[in-house]
Amino acid sequence: MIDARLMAPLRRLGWGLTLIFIDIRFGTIDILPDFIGCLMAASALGTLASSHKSFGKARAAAYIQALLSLPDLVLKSDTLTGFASVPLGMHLYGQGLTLLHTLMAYWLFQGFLALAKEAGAVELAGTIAGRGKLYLACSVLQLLAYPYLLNFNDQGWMVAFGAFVVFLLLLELLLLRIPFRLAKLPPREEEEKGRIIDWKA
Amino acid sequence: MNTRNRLLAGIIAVLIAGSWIGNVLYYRSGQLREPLFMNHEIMTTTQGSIIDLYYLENKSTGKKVTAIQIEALPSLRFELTEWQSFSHQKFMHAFGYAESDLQPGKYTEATVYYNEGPPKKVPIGIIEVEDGEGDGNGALNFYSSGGGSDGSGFISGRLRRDSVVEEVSTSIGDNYKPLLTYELKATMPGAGELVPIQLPERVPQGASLRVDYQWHEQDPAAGIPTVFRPWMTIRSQASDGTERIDKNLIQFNLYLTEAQVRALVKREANP
Repeated sequence: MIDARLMAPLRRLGWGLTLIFIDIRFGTIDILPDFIGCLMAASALGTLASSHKSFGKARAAAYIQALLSLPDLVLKSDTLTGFASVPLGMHLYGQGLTLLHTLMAYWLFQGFLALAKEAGAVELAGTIAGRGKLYLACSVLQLLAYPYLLNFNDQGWMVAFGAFVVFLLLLELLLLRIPFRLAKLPPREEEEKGRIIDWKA
Repeated sequence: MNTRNRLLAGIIAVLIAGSWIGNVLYYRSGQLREPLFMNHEIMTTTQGSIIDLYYLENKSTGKKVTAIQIEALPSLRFELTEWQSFSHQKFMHAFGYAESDLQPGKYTEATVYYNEGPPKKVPIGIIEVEDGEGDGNGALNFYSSGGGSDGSGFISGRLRRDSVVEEVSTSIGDNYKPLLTYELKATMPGAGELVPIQLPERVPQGASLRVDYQWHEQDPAAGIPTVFRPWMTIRSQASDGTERIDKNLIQFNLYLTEAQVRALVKREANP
């Protein structure tokens, strides 16, 4: 069972992550800008931060990501096509955002895991722990491998990396489903709320 | 975060930073300071309409060529297209076609316009434009020529009259002569097979002559590669005693490898 007051922010967090995930552009203009998703997530994390300090760290990462993703509104985001023609600064910028997103995801997984455990959702906690490890391992691998593409960017490597990025997007989908699943846990009864306050303290 | 996780995070941070630093340093060492023109040895005639130039330029950083002009050959227009692609550079083909007759002469510089900064006169080797159509007072009806991407090629023709074929030569500069080997062959009338012939050799009217040639690889570490478009000349004496010259331009394609491009970039950085 989960504190009913956390359900709305969990859903808002889920929608925020969804907005970050979806990238629809007209030309170079992003019509679903990441910073709106980041601000939604940060706002939700503000409420969730009272339940677990990891959410507070994730909120800080979300705010920084919102700020840094502003130029992405008008920048062409697809660096994988014509990779070698993309200026070095753009690669660094893109990977800086990815690093920040990975840090946010790390703290989110910690917070989600704590919530699931406290709610007694053992199976969900196990799922979160497994997905978290896989997500973080793959994200770190991506962060490590990406700079090598600067020097080894023939078609074979680019196709392999592109396939890996598609896999990472699937993991991202699994991440953003977690807050929705947590929000679906049975709400904690009214009389138990006192205990929740103790727990938060 | 416990000590084990901190240690792991520290190791990951060091690895990511190391990966970036190492790759960025290697990336920077693989960039040209500015577009690099190949050396050219191009022969043509006033009515020859095609002159091809080649150059390397970075894919990402630095100046890009936007236009090329040879001031003394104003009728020559260049179209820039990608010929080969490498990790950091594009090997570009400037396909030049003349809209009217070219002025005879030797030309060694091109004015190159860039996307940033002023235009610059760049040495390109030599373009030699000769008077006339270039096929000389030949003894042969040239009917075919061809070439492959492996550097092989041929020219062939049929003798108009009985002749003594005396010499096959090329216009390639002495320094580069070892880069091209060739062999003259002939099919005598009634015979089906091409056989190599030793010069001088009397060859009857109607016989087919064929020169098979092979370009050999250049070592870019030894200097900027040269793009050739040379004359191949067959000198013969007709039965009436007159000297006959058959001139044909032969094909050449320059294909570079990643390692060769790397060597060229290194050479440009430390000439």
